[in-house]
Amino acid sequence: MEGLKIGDTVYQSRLLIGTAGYPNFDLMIRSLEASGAEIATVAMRRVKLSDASGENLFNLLREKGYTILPNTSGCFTAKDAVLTAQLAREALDTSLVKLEVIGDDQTLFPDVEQLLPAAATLVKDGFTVMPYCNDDPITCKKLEDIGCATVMPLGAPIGSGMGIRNPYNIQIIRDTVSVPVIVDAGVGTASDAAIAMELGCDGVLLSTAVAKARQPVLMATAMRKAVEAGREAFLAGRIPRKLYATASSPWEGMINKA
Amino acid sequence: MNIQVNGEVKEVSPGLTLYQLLLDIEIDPARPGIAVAIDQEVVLRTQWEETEIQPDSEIEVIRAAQGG
Repeated sequence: MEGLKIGDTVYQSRLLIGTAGYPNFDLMIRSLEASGAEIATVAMRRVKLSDASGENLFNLLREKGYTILPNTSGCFTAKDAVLTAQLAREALDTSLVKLEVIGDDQTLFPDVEQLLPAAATLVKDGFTVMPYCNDDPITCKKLEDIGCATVMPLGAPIGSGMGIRNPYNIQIIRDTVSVPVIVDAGVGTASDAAIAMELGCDGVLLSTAVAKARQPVLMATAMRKAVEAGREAFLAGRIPRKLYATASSPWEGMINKA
Repeated sequence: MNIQVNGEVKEVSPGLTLYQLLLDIEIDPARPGIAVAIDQEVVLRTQWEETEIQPDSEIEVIRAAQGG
């Protein structure tokens, strides 16, 4: 099947996966492998001083061949998000960034007023910007016009597992922009990922739904299948919804009725 | 003179380079996957050896952590 193009790179998997929330690296890597994802997100955090454990997520993901997508999680201002992205580029040798600028720590909803100038600064600075944004077609169009490589509207609040709360907006976003649309946040189970793909989205980014499942590796497998199934269903073209039945067996040739 | 490294106050000698500071705080400057900002500006790895720490500098040393 045709791939997902982000910037100049084509990925075969349409599932992007987070690395957060796993009790250990072993379970994380097994889940990532089961998901079939090629892109894995990371956060940028302070090096722990006097920590000689040598634990190095960057090396591990690089050895396993993942494309590392650093996020700017935890940033409330454009300035902090830009600095975090620049640090990530220097640390991880990538121009990719999942741009998050949040408005408060309860909803983790994006702060559009900060997001747009942050995106503009980073695009000008040569980044491949993948913004986490509201499921708002107007914002998504502005992000595309700024030069973002994708738009990544939320399906529901981060970590909520509430699924795709506004499929109509997601569909309008798909019709509005020509860059890839990746649903980021809100997916709780496989059917949520399938719905996003059936709506015509180009990909799904998820984290908690796998990491916090009772069996993360099994859920990662389910997500891989759901994204593939949803994509194929979208390409195949669903039948229109109708209120009344249409018989699938022919009426012609029926036996005489009593 | 005093500086802050990752939020912790440290006393260091004037003239200390960023490279030497990292060694002093037991962060291997050759470790892949880390980056440094001083007073909200990224300092490229290639400049660590020639960057002298100024008094009251706020230094952030960051790495990739598990994230979503």
